[in-house]
Amino acid sequence: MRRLSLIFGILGFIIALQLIGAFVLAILIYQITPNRVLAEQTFIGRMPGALSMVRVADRAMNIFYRGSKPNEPLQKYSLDIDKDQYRELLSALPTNLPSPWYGNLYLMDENKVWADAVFTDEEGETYDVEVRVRGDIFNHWAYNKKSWRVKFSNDKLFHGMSSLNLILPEDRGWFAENLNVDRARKFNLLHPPIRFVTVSVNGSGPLLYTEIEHWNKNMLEKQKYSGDVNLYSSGGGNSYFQQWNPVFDFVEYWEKNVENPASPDNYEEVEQLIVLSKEGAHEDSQYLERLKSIVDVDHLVSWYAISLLAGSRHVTDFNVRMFFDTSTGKFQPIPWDIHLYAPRTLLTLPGNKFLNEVFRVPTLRLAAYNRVWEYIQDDAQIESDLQKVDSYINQIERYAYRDSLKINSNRQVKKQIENLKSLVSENFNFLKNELKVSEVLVAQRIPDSSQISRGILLKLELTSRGVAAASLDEIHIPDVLVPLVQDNRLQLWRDTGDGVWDENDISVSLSLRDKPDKNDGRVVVVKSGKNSLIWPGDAELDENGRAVSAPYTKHIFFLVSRDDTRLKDSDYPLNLDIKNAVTGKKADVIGEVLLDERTFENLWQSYASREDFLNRYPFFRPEGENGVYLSGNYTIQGTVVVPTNIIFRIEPGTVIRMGKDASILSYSSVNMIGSQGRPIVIEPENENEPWGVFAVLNAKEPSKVKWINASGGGEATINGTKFSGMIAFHNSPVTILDSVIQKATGDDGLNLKYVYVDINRVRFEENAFDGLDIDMALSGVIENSLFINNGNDGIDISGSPLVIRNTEIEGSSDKCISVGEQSTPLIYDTTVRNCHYGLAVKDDSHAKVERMLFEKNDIAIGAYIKKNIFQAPSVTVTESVFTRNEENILALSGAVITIDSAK
Amino acid sequence: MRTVIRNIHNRVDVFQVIPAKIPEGVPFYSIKILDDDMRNLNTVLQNEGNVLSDDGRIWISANFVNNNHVYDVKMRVRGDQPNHWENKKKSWRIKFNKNDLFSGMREMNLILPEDRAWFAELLNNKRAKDMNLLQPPMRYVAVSINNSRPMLYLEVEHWTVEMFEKQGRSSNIDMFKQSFLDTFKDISMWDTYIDSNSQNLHSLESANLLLSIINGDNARNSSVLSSLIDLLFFEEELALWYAHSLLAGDGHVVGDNVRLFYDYTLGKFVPVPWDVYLFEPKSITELPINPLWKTLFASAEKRLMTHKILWAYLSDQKRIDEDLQYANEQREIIESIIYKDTQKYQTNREIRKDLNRRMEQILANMSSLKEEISTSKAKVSWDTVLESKDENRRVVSIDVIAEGPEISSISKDDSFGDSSFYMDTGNSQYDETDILISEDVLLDPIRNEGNMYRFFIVGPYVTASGSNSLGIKIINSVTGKPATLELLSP
Repeated sequence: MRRLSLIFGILGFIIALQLIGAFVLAILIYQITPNRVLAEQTFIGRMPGALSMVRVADRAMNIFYRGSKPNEPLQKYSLDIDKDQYRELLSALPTNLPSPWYGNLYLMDENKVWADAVFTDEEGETYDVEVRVRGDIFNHWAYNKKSWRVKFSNDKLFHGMSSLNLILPEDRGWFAENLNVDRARKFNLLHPPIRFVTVSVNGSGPLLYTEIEHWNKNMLEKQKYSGDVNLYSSGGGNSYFQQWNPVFDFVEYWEKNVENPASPDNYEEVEQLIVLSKEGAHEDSQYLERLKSIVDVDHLVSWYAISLLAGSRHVTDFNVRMFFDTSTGKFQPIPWDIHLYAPRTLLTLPGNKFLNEVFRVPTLRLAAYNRVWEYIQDDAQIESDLQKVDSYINQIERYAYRDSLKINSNRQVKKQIENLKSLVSENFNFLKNELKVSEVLVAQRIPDSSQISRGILLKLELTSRGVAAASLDEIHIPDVLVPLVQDNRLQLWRDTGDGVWDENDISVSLSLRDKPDKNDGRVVVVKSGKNSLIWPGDAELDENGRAVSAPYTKHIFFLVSRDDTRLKDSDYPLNLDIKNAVTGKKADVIGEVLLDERTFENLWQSYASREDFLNRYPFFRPEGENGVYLSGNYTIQGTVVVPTNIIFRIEPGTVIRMGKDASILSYSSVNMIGSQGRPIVIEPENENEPWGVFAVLNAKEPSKVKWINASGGGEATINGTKFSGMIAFHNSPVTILDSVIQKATGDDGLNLKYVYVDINRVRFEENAFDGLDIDMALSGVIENSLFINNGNDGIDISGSPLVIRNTEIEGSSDKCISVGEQSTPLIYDTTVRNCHYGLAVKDDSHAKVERMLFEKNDIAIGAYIKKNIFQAPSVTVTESVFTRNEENILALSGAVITIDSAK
Repeated sequence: MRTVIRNIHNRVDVFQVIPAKIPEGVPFYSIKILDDDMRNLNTVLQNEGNVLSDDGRIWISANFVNNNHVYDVKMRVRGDQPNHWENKKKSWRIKFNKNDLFSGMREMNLILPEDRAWFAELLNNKRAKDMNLLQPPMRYVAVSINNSRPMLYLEVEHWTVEMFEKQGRSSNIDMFKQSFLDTFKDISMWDTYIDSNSQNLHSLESANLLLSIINGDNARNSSVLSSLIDLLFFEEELALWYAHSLLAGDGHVVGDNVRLFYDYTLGKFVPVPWDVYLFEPKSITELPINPLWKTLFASAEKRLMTHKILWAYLSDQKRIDEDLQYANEQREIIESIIYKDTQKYQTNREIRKDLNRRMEQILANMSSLKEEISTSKAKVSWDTVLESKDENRRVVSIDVIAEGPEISSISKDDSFGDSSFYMDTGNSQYDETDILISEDVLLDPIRNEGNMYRFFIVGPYVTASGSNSLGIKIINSVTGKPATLELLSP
């Protein structure tokens, strides 16, 4: 028995555990699964009566919701509709979609059946009225509680109203529309009077409604507007093919709620509005003027500001309400059914074609943002709004809970009201943060030579990403530009879209600020306004119109000198002050670069055709199908670029005089074969004015250099490649024979990189620094050559396995032979004499030396680590002679020098 | 909930009870960070969003010990994505004093090995080096932080001048650093890890030149674009880079994984395979997502070069075996340490599953590429346009739809005797604008203008019984074997 109890006990425990687990799982699923999904896509929704039971259970809880006692009771009406006519009215309501093109049940004209009724106000006064349901979409009339239009007789108006609307308050966000109307009134925008009332319909209990006076002349006049206006609205239901009318495409879709008797059936002003709504209309330079001529732009900006405060996206092709005041000839917007939404990025467009175009105008968008910013910065304003919200909730909460016909349960009503209340604050906070964001990218371009010669000192590209526009406020300038400011010789121009400074561009005023900056530098102030505004364009949108990516909208400015004053390289980049145009604080410069357009300005020449090349340099002559050659005596100025795929030859005896800093860069291999009697000479035009380089870059075919005499060149950077050698071959195989390289003023007389080295019978003499510099050679040989009195090293190799033989190096101020960066030379039958180092081996290099003569050097062989990223080097010496050196061996930092059979 | 389950799983995993035995050859580092510094860092990181901001990149002091040598270093977390720094085990950047380098390194990265698909990135590294593509040195290391159990990391030397010089490369470069995702939209988003020492100004016109290939006037002129690409890149190096990426599924070359430097001694851009990762096989008919690579590899010639490289690789069984052996060796190293790494995020079960999956992916990529490259299909239809016995002339139009996946090539064969072969220039008519072809023409299945090509064979009149041949041959441009043809007419 006991055992049985134990077994049952254990079983019971396991079952209880499983039930708890299942319950926890159910809660988990319920928490993470949207109710709609549970109801519509699971078996729960398909269980007969399951959802009804849930609803009943929910409503059973209604009694627990009391709400706070309203400070003031609401007006009470009753509406008694003729029973028969009420039945007719109900039977006329739609039960099917008007067409497959519609998304909802829609109240078409034929469904708008009037019924007679008696309207009784709070004082007991009765009115014979006509009523019908109102509201385009089914939520207004498909259920027990409906929205109504009540029409009074002209003989007996109701508090001056000939017609009023009783709207389901939840359709207007409970208190949201009332709050929007309050805000509208602060901005002097028109809105029909709005308030909460209760209505007993056909004997029902009091039902909560939002009462809004209907559009008519009386309503306008009571608000001190002229009644002789055209008041337009947009909507839908006219067409089989769409639910909402594309009102900004066709004037025919517009309706007048109030019509100016002087211009019946006249819609010309709407036509103007449609023209202004065309995609891209805002780009027209006259757009703003044309808009201002027909629209009260100030009110439009205020309307948009209210919409932004409500996070609104409820005014698209529907909910457009505008009246055209014939006395001013302008449209004014009426904020209608703006509602209240969760915040969304301000990068999203307003939502209809007209507003999209209007608020693509940067100054108008900025004006709206400024208006919002001013509003949300005012704590008193915010506090007032929040108090209003509380006040409205106090007015309606208890009535809402006691409304017996409403569709939602009290739990749902409470949740909706609380959500909406928090949205008010959320929108404030969101807008505060959103408008603080003003991201800008800055690129400062040093112009190329042709632009500099026109006086352009700087090209500024300022790219706005939003949210708020930015403005270029100030530019810190070098002293050399200060005198130019006063008499307008320093100018700022705003590009009008082609990226080129020309007469179509807009001049932007500059003035010198009195106070220097914190570094005592001078500052020019950019006169603000539209011309210094840097605004974001359209964001990238998805198919639902939601912003998925912030824009990149580039604005270009040119800083121009109208005289010969130019900036030095060290003056760049200039310091700029760029502000958030809404908040006035510094904008977020999220990326900033300097670009020197001179670097690659001649790059196009490298792939020019032979024909273009010959036109440019007529002293070159054509040869064969794609060759060119030089022959005779020439003076070259500037930089000559020989394109790829050309066969380039220089004839024996050619003398090329190079002007100051002149260079020849060839992307093709070169055949420079002179003869002993007729060498090819490359020399400076004027002895004391070094030229640049003669370089070959990335030529696939091997070059041949024989019997050339090059002197007086230096270094150059051409087309983004740095050449340190007077004669340079980078990644271009070459054989150099029987030549003289002398008196180079730059780093190297001859520099070879990434090639197989083949140097034979070449003399390197009196070059200012290194005679021969080889980097990252594939392999190769230096032989039978002479290095005399070079200013730094005779031979400098790095990263290269080479053979050096039958060569003499003497009189180098630093090293006769310098071996670095993992090189592995074999050096034999070579003399190094009268240098500081005869041979220096560094940085994980390993040299093998045979039959060398080390004579009269300060240090015959040195080995050490120069860069501590490398391992120690080594040198192996055999059969070599050391004579009259100050020191034969110096091994440092772990280097190893091994000498066998030395004499 | 997932974290709770994971924690429970890790705690009961018996492998983690036993201390790790670090395999020979795998370095071991011990790092000491002050508790306060670690706490502050974790507090800062809790406020980070989805991408590591500058606020999160704070340097803290630490002692780094290896082989009894103590280095005073600075460390910070690294890695844009939260997986690198939001959990207990983080990825690190370590900076050594310039006078006390660690194995010649100034800066190193310790990266979570799972972020690099375990052994896959080391295999990518090996392949890249075999292809003579620049790679930062990388290896597995075991690291203890504040006396933790040894953690497995992938050590990668950071992009520094020293790293380049040690590899025999010029340091006269701009090594670009892209911002996350929007790199190719605006030049101002670019920055550099390394600046050229030959430039007077810190300026980025080399990057600007690169962008002009994708945006701007250069991009719109196809002959200029082609010339620029040839000028600015080594063709073979580019093809090797792409082949390397395809071997790993070519899935990770988005904005922030582009590693490229401009060499001022060569005037060339050099692509560096970085964070190539490993993905499921991708068809060779899909171009890279990244706009730069998409532009560079739009040309059939460049892709063909890439595919030839791949074919040579995939046909070399010895090389494949070496790679697989290497991958297995690295896997063994990983498994000897990672299962006992108590700080790691995944469970051992998840890791083992991932390791198996990675090996499958390596094999799948190789087999898929081999399959695709060896397959060249085309649909061919033809029509006699003109036939004149009097003029002794016959013109036949031949339409070829290149279906790929591999690029094929078409040439004239001799079956029509003395005839000429023309390529239509787009108006579908045989006229004087058509181009006389003397060499093979590539048939690109993903050509921009469409994969339908029209040719004309113009030759002497032959009777219907004279020849049944089309007069052309279409071959797989990589393997040289005949393409698979579907003849549609007549």
